[in-house]
Amino acid sequence: MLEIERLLQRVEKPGRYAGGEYNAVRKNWDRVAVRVAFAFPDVYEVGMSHLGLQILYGIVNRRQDALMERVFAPWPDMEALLRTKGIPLFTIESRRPVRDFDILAFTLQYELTYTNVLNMMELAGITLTAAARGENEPLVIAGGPCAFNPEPLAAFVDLFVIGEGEEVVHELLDAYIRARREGKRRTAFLRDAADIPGVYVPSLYAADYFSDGRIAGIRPLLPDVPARVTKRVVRDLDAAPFPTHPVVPTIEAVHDRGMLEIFRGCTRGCRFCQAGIIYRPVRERSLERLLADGQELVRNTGYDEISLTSLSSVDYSQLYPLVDRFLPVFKPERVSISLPSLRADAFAVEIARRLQEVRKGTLTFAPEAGTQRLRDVINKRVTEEDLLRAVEAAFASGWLRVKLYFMVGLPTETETDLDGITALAASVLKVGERCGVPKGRLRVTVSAACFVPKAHTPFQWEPQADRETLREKILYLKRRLKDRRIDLDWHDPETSFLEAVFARGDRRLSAVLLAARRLGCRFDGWREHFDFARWQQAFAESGLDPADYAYRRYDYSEVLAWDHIDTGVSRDFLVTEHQRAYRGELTPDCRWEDCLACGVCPELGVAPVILEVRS
Amino acid sequence: MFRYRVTFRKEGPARWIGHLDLVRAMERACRRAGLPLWYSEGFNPRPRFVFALPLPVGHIGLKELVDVYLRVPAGADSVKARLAPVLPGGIVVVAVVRVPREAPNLMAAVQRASYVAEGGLDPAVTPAAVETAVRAVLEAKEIKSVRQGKAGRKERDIRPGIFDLAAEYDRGELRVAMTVKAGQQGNIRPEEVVEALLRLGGLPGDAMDFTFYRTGLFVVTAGRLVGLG
Repeated sequence: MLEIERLLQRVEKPGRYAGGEYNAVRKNWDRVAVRVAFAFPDVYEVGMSHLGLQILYGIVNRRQDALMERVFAPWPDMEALLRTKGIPLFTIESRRPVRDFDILAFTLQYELTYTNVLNMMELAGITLTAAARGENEPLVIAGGPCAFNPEPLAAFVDLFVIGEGEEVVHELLDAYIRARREGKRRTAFLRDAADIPGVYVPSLYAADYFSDGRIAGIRPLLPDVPARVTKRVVRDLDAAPFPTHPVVPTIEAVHDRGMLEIFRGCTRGCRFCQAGIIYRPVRERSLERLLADGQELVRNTGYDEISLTSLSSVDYSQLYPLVDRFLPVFKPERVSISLPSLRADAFAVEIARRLQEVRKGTLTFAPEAGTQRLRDVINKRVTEEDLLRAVEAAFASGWLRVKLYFMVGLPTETETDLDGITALAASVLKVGERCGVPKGRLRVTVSAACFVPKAHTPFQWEPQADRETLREKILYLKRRLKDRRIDLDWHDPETSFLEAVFARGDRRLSAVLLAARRLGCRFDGWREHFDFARWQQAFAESGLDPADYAYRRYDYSEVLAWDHIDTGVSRDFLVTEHQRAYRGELTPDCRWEDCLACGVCPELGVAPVILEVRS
Repeated sequence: MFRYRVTFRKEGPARWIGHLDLVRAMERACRRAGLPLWYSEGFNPRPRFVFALPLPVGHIGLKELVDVYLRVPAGADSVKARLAPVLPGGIVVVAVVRVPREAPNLMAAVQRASYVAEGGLDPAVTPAAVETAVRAVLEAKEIKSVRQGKAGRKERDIRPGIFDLAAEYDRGELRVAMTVKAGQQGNIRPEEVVEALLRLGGLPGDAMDFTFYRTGLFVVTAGRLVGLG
């Protein structure tokens, strides 16, 4: 303990490790049957902005027989101290070594945190490879969106939880406690755990490959292990526990506000979007529940801002009534309400206008592509007219800055589409001028991300544009966006390349991750720590060509590394959507139109929950 | 506007949070406590918290002070009772008193601070050597201290800002008590004094390894120190 205090004295931001936050839970170590360390493989400020952590922390700590503590990736200054002093990675709450816990549970939000996963295990003194791990070491589990293609981490993780964790976490902890009581060894427990729906135990499966490197098949090694693992989904979100007593970070988090999840899932159907597939179907939470939870959240945290979160909050069918009922309660308390992102239409701006009396920030829209043709390809059902009307409403109501999200390198993209981006940015500026935004204050930010083909999406078979091409596209935009009132942000093509490799990667990549970790890669999502040359060396040492994963067009007939993970959405639906993309055909949203037979509802025995169907 | 002076300790995990984070934590705690905070006028109304003097990250504060402004009056005891249970770990309310609205600004008032620094020395160091070191500091005409600021290195004389210095020493355990100039101008940091003590006394050690406690904040009235809070 004293040793850790000494480390805190010497790091840049000791608050990342100090704990003591309001609503943090300290439980008696000896009075519980199972102890879980929840590991977020990024820095504290990022991890504390994550709702999933707060949900699971609340659920597990409400159990009498379990405790959960938190651990984040130590920043390199702390890592260096831990290594030189030989102090093992510790949790925030009790500052106990992570290695003393029964279960180490990672959340996988982003592929570029995988080296942090390994680095944290190493700093904890835990054997990296699951097969070599001793009986007295923690069980290593993982969940989150990236677990939908778990294969690159298959060698390190004992079991993955696929899908929403609220219910399965109880089944898993119960099974763990039972196995413990019965004195079962880890392999026996894992065999039992594989029977829990949504639990994937990679060591119970083998992957076979063709001589050209493509996957021949992924098969269970035992007769009664399921061939496919189907994701978990919470049928009734109103009945699910929601964290109204979240841990309030004492140092400023990236999203330093209360989070109120208003619905889960999104069926807008953007063809590149993984979240749109894996969180299906849409389930709205009731007005009553949200009002109660929102007020409790404010009372228990002291936050002066509550964010109404979801994948596209303006789509909440009862947004007006919700806002109408929140405003009179929150206004006297000086609590403001915010929305994480806006749909590009005038209704969205009208809502934003009502929420923000002081229009200080930037309004953000995501047209994603520069031309109508390409927006049709990706099924982003937003027209230029919609967007310009939204922007006009924004400028007219006093906002001075607008941010536009785009992707470059989308399937079928040509120079015309890039010109579309610059033309759109110019039109937005013109609208700003017309609305009389004061000269010198009008600003448009164009943010260009690189397209990354993701598992389980209609674009999962698509190649990523190569790094050189992506770089040229960005430079092309840079050359054309010369107006000083337009700023251009872009994502690094090399980072996006690695993201694509791991998003569609298979088990063989575990060798690359081990090599990369050994070469010192970590915090790869942070520009100041990302070192592409090391990654190239790691691939070379492992005899794998990353381009095979990222740049190849996968064939419909091919076995994909994630085919044994079932989102409930049928493969036929993805193929149809992929083909409709090439024909530029729009697919409607099942919230407002007919069912599209994506498969998720019959397959998982669920149904969309929409409070009020739009006429 | 009703003004309350909260005396609190900043210790344990709260020791590691910076001043801006402390301001935010205090505001959130007051909101959880349901205190009727006073808000400024204008486009972006803010509550008002006036802290006596920021405490550097890592230092333990035993008598820190903040003035909290409420829009309706409440009993000082009730403010304390409501605030105490909703503070983050390591922030502990010691006392709350009502102060007149027109009392001098807390931040501007502070003139002196007392600190205690505790740390280990090589047990071979003798008590006499420590005494000599203390005398060396007190007898020095000038003590140059270099501070690395945002605008670069700044050298200044800290000797005039050291008013009191005493040390207790027992087999390697050193405890230094000091009273130094504090406030918005010419504030002396206790690390600088410990560094000077070690340097002038030729003692081995690093001020970084010491634990610092701020034990009091004072105004000077008719040549005498009067504790705030």
